[in-house]
Amino acid sequence: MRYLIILSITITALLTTDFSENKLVTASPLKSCLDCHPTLKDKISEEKAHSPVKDGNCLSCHNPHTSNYKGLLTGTEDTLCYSCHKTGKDNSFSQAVIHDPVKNGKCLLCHNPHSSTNDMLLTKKGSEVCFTCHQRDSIISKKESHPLVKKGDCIACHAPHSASNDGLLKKKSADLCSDCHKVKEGQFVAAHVGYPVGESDCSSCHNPHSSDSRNLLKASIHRPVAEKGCTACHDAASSKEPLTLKNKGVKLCYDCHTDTIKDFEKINSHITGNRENFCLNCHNPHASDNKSLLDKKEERVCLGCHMDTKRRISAKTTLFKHPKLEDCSSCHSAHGSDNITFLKAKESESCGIGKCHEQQQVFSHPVGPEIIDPRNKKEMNCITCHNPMGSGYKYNLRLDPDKELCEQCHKL
Amino acid sequence: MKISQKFRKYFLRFTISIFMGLICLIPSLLFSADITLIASLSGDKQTGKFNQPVSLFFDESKKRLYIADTGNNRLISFDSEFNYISEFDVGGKLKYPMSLVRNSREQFFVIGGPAKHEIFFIDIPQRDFRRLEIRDSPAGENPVVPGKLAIDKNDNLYITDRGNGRILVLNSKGRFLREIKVENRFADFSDMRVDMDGNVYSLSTLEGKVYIFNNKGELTLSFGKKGEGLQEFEFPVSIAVDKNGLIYVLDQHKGSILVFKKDGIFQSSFLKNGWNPGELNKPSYLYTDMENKIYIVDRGNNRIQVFQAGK
Repeated sequence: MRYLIILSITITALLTTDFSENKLVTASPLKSCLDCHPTLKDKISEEKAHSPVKDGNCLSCHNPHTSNYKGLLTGTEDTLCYSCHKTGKDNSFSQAVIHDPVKNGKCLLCHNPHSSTNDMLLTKKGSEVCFTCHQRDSIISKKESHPLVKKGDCIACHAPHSASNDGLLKKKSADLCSDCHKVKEGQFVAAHVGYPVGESDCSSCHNPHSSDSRNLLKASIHRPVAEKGCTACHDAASSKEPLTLKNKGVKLCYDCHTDTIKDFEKINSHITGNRENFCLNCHNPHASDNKSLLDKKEERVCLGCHMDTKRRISAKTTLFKHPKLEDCSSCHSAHGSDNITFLKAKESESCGIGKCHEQQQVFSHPVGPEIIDPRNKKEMNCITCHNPMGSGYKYNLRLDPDKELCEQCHKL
Repeated sequence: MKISQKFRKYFLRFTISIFMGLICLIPSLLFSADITLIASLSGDKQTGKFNQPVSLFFDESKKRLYIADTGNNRLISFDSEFNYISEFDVGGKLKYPMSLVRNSREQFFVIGGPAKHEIFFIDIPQRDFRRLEIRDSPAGENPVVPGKLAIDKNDNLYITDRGNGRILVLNSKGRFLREIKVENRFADFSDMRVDMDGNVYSLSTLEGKVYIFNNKGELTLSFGKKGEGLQEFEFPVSIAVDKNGLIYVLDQHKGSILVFKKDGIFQSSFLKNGWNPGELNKPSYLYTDMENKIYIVDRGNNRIQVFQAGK
């Protein structure tokens, strides 16, 4: 009975309430908002204001009373933006390669949600918005720069949201370059020793942004390429299919790099992953801006496959990291090793490489063949207690030194 | 009155959620509770300390365990109670044994040698020790680089060819029978096992994928992906299949074994990273026998651990 009374009172109240005032607030809350947020006035009057802002519809994104999100937003950044901008123009959010901020719903890294003096509500003008994350120095600091890069016209080649090509390129590398460069003309062909490279990936030899070398060539050039001795690997330019390789697979590389074969003849070997030529897993056969003709920066090459390691070392809980973490080859032997985890030296000697931790070798918890870890009967060394890659504890300790680390062996 | 009702409502919700949680956990609880560590071998005064053991083989007919003690250039044998029997290095000729199988004629095939990637044939009674040449196999883009070995009930020899991302099958006389590979040129067959019906269970570490082929070498099922989830692989390195058709995958970085039904449905996972007995540190190899014993080369801890799973 009591419930029936409450229910009838509620229904009566709902039926008799005049919502007109609330409707007014929903339709034009702007005035009430601007009472307290006067600085928004100028922004709203800008020509390039976000359409809900122009319409004074603050409530499309904000809750005027309470919210679980910063800025009294009605939802997370990604859910809010994508609720209206569902797919982007021409499905520009969902191509195979997606820009990280788009993937992670961080639209505000590039766009201002209220208004901007720039097109597309960008927070900065032209390439400046790109340089917020992509370090300018690493892109255009060299002597020679591509004219489009000089102009700051990043989106001439790159799609800002997503693309079907690596590097968010709008077209395949060769197609993109040949839009401007006349790849079939005599001068171009002559510059490439008669090889029809116009349909190849130009970024194999050229840095498309900037370079200290002429013609934007990359910093290190594979010797045969530098000497224009393309026939070391390819058929002659005059042959029917000049880009055909002279030998199959890795034999092509081994023909010259005979010593490298020994590097792979180890208990742990990186012979894996590409049955066409496994050297190309890591190296660029023509030119590179990285050491040892690596296709990318060393860390990116390694972590490209070792994705779980990347995840682990970039986790928020990994507070302490090895200072040489980006230089994997300072501790690991990339081709192969007889030591566990491809270490250059035995576990017990690994931390002494390059005299990095000389001092610790002298003053430390006793280690060596006589000091046995009671848990697994192995000799103790630095790696017993430290995780060289990184950990959540100071000095890269594997466990909390104030709690369980020592107790592992020294039972109380 | 109101408080009591509210309390009752929340208590009911709490009980239901605990109950549902337990139902979800039952399969893994049942399985993990039925795993017991029965042996841990790391060498003793008699054998000397192991040095980087990489793999092992259990001979069902003779009930003997053979361990490839790679860093010590020897094979060591134990009986089914894990008592030491003997060791051999073919008079010092055997270098870096990294994978081994034994056929029904008690002959060994071992991958190793100074170059680490050669196959050797060893017949101890006949004092026969020689390099096995693989003849008649289709040429790959790269030289053949043997990685792991497996053997079936007909003594056919299975070899993972790391150089060309494929599995080569030779008959008992060493003659080439067939090659097994998949479209994806980045599929690396890092390990494989063959069941009683000749089905081949193989593992691609790079892709985080299990490939199953029938006895004609045709792909019948593939499953698995890389990731952080309970059912996903971080760095899978070894695969085994038990007599009931359960598929075991050893994940080196998770330090655990993931178990799947023969249709690829995840069943459970057990073991964890660590240094204590029963825990794993960079394990490299997994083997299951007909008595549901699980042998693990716990390489980072420099030991072999043997677990008994429920029979």
